[in-house]
Amino acid sequence: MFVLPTFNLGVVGTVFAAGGFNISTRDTEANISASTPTNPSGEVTIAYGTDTEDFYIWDGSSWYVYNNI
Amino acid sequence: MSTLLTCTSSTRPGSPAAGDTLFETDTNKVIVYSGTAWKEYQDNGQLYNDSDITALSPHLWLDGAGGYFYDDELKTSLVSNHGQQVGTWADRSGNGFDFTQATATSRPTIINDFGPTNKTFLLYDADQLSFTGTTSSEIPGAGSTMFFVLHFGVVSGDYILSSSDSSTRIRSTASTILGTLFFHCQNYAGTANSSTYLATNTNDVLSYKVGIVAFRFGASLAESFVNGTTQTDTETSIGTGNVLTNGVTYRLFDTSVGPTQPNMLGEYMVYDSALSDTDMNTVTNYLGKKYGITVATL
Repeated sequence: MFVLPTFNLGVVGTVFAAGGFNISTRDTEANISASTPTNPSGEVTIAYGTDTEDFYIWDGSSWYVYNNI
Repeated sequence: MSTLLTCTSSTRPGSPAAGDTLFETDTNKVIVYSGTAWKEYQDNGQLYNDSDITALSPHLWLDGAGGYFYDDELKTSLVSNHGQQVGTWADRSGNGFDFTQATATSRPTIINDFGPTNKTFLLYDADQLSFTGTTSSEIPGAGSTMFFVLHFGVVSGDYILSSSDSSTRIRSTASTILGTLFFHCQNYAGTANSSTYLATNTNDVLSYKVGIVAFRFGASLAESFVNGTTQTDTETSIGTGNVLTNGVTYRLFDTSVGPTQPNMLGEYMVYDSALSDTDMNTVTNYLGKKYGITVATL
């Protein structure tokens, strides 16, 4: 299972005081799939599926899924 | 919105800190620096939407994903574990055209985590599932489209779909030498027996690989497709009979083949029309994402 990192110098997201990384886009897979976010230059969007517990990355044209195992 | 910075496999940061996390655009890997090494997390394929298929109202849809396997022909219990045998592959279309096998020794086997995106297939060697047509399943052949997602052993003469009255038989022809496999419709909706009708190109695209084979039958044109690519051979003589005909039994894989060259089926769809190019692309793209197959666009 992918373990979210404690320190994230390469991550652009919300950082809690405890140092954890927070994925702010949390939604059902269907809603994530239906969305087409605009990525900042040199970055990709990451989202978390509340119904699947998988996470997803939008590369600018497709969503890629990373399964919870 | 949360984002990850990107790199490529050849441009990873040279002096990372523990916890640094990036997305590699050339491999689709998420990489995390542990403090001593990069740890890699590979994607499980592109996200696909089942709604793309349900919106097209398939006439019959056998889907290896999502829990449509049962232990026996009576659908006593769901089965999903690798190695379990399947007595019913339930039709996901909602029409109830389930394929079944009452003989325990002839039931295909579940293969989990197979192929580029770790999908579920049914393995057939000497096994088969069958469905006997009803008045509601029967559709004209001229106005039908079929998709198969399969991993095919190079087995000559195996029927991937055949009817008990021999009016429809889709089969392979191959030598034991890799690269000579093709599929064709020996019969379809009552066409005459033929060894060449609607043949896919002869190549190794489908030899021991996961691929998509499709056949589209209009009123005056029949075409075959491999991974979304229109095949060279087309036909203008279309069968005037039906498929999934009332009272006729249809079998998925009905020729015994050796265990060293088993065939596997991940998905089977039938549509009661000759799909438009747009709809063909929708189905092909869905299957391509789902099974990790690079597909062409019509």
